[in-house]
Amino acid sequence: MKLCRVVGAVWGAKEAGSLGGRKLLAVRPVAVASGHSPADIAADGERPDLQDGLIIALDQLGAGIGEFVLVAHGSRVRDLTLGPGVPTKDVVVAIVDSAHVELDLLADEPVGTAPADRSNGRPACSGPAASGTAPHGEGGGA
Amino acid sequence: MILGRLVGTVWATKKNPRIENLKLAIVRPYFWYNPSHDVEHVVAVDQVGAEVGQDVLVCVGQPGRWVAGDYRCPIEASVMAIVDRVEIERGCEHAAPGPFALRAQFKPTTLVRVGADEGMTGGEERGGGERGTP
Repeated sequence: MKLCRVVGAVWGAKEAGSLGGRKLLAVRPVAVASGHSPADIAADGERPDLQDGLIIALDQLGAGIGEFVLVAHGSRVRDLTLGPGVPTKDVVVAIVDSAHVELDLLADEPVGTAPADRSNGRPACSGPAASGTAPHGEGGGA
Repeated sequence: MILGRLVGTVWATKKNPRIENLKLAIVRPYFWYNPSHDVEHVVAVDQVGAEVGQDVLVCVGQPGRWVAGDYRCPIEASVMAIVDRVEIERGCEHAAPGPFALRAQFKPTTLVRVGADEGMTGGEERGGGERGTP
């Protein structure tokens, strides 16, 4: 799924009958890693950057313009939500109340997640890795 | 499967009934299968309890639905595992254009470079991540 912002609605004067008059929304995916997007994403908050390109998604939940939604893509998703035979591949599966992104983690070296700290608390893979390779916690170069 | 960093969380109350009670996580992929279909982020269902900041393995497609608990839930991706350690041959982590090359300027926190320097395009990275070969 993608986190998207609803930027508009689409109405067809003459639609494929199998669309059944369902609501179509124009959405754009949020660019969480653009470097300018806020950490907290909500409909009443600061507007995040959006990716290029418009997705027309079919909405069964009643999302409004300016709201954030999760849009899932694929024919399987379509089959599972609307049933086969509906001519769309993008479906709104959730209306987002809020989302939080740790902006520090989008940089190359995230703050506060030194590999040494985390590998100490995680015993997994120490067994096989210990046989022929060096110990944990060197990867990030922190 | 793709390797990514869990960078955020999504809260939603109005959802498709089949994805109620599923934890949603924003994952920034380190690489994508096919560069022409690169994605900026992917929202994945997390059933393994990963925390923000951890490296995770994300499976896209139908197997992701199996992991989510209900193969009929309309999701695209699931967190399969929390990554402890990634070993990549030295110099290959940002290898020339092609599938499975890590995103430039963005490397897993759990990455460990292994292998000898000779013959590799890299090897100049003798920073903190360096360690001697036996």
